[in-house]
Amino acid sequence: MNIDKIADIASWLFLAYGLIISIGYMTTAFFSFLEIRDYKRKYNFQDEFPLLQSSNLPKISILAPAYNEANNVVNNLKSLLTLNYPVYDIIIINDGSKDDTLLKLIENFDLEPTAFLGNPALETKKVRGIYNSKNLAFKNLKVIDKINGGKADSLNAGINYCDNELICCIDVDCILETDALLKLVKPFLHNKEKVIASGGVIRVANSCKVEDGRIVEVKLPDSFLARAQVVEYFRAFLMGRMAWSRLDGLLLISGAFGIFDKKTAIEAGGYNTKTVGEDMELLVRMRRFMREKKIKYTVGFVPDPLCWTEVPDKWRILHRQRNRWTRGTVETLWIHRKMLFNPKYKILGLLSMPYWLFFEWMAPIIELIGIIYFIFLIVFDAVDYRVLGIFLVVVYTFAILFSVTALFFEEYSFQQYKKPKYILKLITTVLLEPLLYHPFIMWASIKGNIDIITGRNQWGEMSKKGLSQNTD
Amino acid sequence: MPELYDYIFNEKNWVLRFNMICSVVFLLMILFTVVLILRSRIYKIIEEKKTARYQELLNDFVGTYIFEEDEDFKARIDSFRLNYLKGNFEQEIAIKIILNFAENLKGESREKAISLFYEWKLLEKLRAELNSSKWHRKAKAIHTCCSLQIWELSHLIEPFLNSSKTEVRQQALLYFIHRSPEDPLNFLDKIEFDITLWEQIFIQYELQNNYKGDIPDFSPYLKHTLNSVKIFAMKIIAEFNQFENSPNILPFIEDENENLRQYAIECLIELQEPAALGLLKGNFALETSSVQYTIIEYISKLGSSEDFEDIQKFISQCDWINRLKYYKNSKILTPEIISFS
Repeated sequence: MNIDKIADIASWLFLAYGLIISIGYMTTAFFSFLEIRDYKRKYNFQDEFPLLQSSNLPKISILAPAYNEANNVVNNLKSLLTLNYPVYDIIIINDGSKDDTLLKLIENFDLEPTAFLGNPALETKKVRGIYNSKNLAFKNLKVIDKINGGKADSLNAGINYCDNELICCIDVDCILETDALLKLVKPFLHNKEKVIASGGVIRVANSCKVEDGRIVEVKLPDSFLARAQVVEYFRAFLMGRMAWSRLDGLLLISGAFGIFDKKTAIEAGGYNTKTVGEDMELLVRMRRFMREKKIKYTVGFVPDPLCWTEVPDKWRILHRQRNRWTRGTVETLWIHRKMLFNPKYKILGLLSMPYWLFFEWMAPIIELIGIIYFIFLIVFDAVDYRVLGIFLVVVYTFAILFSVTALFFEEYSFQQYKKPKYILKLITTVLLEPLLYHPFIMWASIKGNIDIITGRNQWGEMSKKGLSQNTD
Repeated sequence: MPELYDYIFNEKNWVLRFNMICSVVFLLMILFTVVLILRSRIYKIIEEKKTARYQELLNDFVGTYIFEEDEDFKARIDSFRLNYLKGNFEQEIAIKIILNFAENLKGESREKAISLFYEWKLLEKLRAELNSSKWHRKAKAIHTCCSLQIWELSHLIEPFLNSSKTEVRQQALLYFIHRSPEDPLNFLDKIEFDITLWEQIFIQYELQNNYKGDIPDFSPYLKHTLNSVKIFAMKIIAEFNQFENSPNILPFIEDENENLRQYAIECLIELQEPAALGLLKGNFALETSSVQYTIIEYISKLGSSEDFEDIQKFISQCDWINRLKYYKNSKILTPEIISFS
């Protein structure tokens, strides 16, 4: 077989992959549009006041792991205590912080230790103590102090000792809208089938004006890096997850904000402490558990902007985050490989899992192979620069089209970035993102794959500036 | 442009030609989407201004009509309709404004606001919406009928009690509660679909806040064919403290359906009915985990500490949720914590 033949076959394979991925993206865009449109129509004329007055709403326990959060934990907790929901409690899990997180909580919320039961359902690192507040104003607050074991381990401790039927897992540094719980619980109220989880859209809080732990003015981030993530989050949440929600094939509810049915989470085994992608792994395991038990169920998703988070604004930190996300994806796909192409799991086995395998995990690998292939062609002087040029234009225009469609969805649905100059800035970001941002993300994913092969499987430190500073 | 067209379509390599066509198509789609974004932004700004202008105009007119005595208002109403309520957009704002007035006023003023609805022939619009094929239009129209107490369209709304679209069905349920002067839940006899928790919450809210008649006996709904209606009946029996219905609830604690057993026990807890204690203690060992959880709550509230200790041995060591529940309730029941390994 000569070099031209090899080049021909490889070109065809790349073309086929590109076509399939493009069709996949266009399909998700179509389903997302339908889902967002229906959601807007459903809730545009009725208020939620009766929900607030109801004693029949499911009770929720908010679980917020905290590790070295002494600077922000008090303010963040105060904002959590003022959420609009009839019955909820908050459980802060101090995951062996080295700073004075626990001390600050004890002092500010008048905490005292309480007796607790041993041998819980989910195995965790040793719980050193459980604290309740003496102050009735904080009667719905509980603090679990435990030896450091990571986020998954902390959440498991929270699941063990919370009282309510639904658990809402959040990052303690996230900012929730006041009606976040009320909105996120809706799938549990509407469905006749059992709902095991409900996820919400995560928004980028960098540069937003924050007062008393609430977003009071939405601003577009100043840095390109954070802006690129705004566009990326539009694509991921408003397009990807909305579509999967419509098809009931959602495999991931962000660890930053999601509600789960406690009983199902416990029965499925709780969070897996051995993976760095514990959020995706839990949902996949819960879905698999329900399917294997032959219990009818569903997973909900709410497109309202409910949770705001600070995204990395340094390339180094972003690299760590994406590296970790890739490892989490690989680990989850490996743990649940039995589901892949397995008709027993219906849409999960036949569509969701293959999609994650080919288009989430493999996409950066295929891109890398494409680059290597290109170098190979240069070496053998087999590059047709006309073909190369037009191919790059196709790829670039498609990437722009996909992002611009995501911008349109934001404009059509919630229009959080209200100033006209933000639209222009976002369009500029969309034009630059495939050139400056995407190659970096691809490299971080490749590095994640390399790390998992070489056994480097650390969580990685995620330093953040802190949102409580954005008050000007 | 013709050169580009020639270049693309005279290309012999079809893969190259395909890629070039794709590039052009994508580029056009990008431009189209960007224009759509900008148009959508501009349209929203214009629409907001237009809405504000119409709202002001309508508020002024409706306010004047309600609060000023003017013999010749009939002509002004007709003239306003002909001049300002021509399109769908204007009519929708008019309905919204009338709804606002109706919600915030009482008595004669409210009646006057609603009378404008008829004078402006907006009923025809609602009739058309109810006959529309779009579910969201139907739901919104039923919501308007309900808020303005327009009962003459009930024959059009009744079939929606069994609509396959949840939102339409929910609005129809609320409409019929509002409509009934004395038997607010009689529509439940006509429904064939289970009612969701969302619907239950809204029905209960309507009963507690908007229904003006006497609260009826809810026990007949315990005989309904749908389990969700039976559960809802138990909830409202508890909510409205209909203690006299306790004997009707008791048989459900031995029902085949787990949910019914659980809600029956919850209802009995709320009604503080101790008659089930013996039976629940006897059944505890054989019960499912969820029902056991509710029985623990029942015994801790309505039983003695001896009753409570009696069931401890039947809680599985693997059932953490029930062990934790038992542990917590035991702390409430007795000052000294019952040992529990």
